[in-house]
Amino acid sequence: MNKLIIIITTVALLSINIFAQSTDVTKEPGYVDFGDFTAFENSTNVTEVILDEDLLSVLATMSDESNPNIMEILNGIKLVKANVYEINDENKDQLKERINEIDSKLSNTKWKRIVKTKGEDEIANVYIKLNNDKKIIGLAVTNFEKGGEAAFVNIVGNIDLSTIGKLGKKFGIPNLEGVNEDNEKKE
Amino acid sequence: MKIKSITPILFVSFLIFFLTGCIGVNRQFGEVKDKIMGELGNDYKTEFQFSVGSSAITISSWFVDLAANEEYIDDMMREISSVQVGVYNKVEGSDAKANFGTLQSIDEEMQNKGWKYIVRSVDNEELTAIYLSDNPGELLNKMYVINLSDDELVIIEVNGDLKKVISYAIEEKKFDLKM
Repeated sequence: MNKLIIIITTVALLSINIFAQSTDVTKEPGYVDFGDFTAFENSTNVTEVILDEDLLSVLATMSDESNPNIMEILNGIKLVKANVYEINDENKDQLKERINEIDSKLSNTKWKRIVKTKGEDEIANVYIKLNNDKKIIGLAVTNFEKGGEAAFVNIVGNIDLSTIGKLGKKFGIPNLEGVNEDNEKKE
Repeated sequence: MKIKSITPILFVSFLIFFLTGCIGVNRQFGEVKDKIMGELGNDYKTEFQFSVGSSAITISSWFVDLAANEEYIDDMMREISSVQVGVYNKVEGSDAKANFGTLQSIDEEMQNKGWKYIVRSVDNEELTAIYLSDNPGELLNKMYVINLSDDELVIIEVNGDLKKVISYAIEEKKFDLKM
């Protein structure tokens, strides 16, 4: 009897572990690790947003076919993560460097950069990751505006290209409006 | 029974019926408050704290009906079952300062109590964080809003079906990323 309890407990614990692994969004191919932001957390203005799958899926159910709304585009999205830091004299070089590091990292993997703006005072990059069916499963945005803020945004999950603009508009993510048109032109 | 002796009972019954919970905060709120105050070095003293039940919210929504044409506010209020509010003032001479480190300490305490943040921000020494339950079954039934400024700490707990509140925040107000 004791053996049976041990076996059941072990199987149950393993199942929990497997389940936990399968729901770990950091293992998703569309997830981007932007690195440690501790050095930037002393900025005067810092904003962090993290919306996980549990929350997004509940919100997505609020949309109905007769009255489609923004919640509909949240369907299939597993994570919306944004880190925004005010740029000051102390952190501007580090923030620029971090954006360049992320650019090198993503450019060397299966991410595709679809928007690139690079000037002395402004950097903006938008990347997407596609699966084998050419569906977008990840989106990353890095943005630097001198005298303003630096932003790091990652959206993980099934993203419909036609709604990317809406998503950007609704969440206040820059550079996403017009991405659809740009991408279609390229194709 | 004389009418005089019934009057106080009726009055108390009326208050209980219409202002359910409009007296003090519950133990869970008190525990959260104690943890946060502990993180701030107990440098904050209670200004006031109270809770408002569903009946009082319903009455408030009647006035909202009269005062505003915007249906969503009325809709949201109908979904809220109770609200608990605490306002605490910083004691004189305290050198407690609000920074991101403070926010992270509060965050750790909230996480230990089963809450996860969806938004946290520091804006010129003013901290704001919104927490939802970590339990998927209660995810949109309870929400904490914590605001810490230079001179006061405000903790608000909202109970009810919060789908509309959260959805409204995303639909109408966005998450202002200021980019």
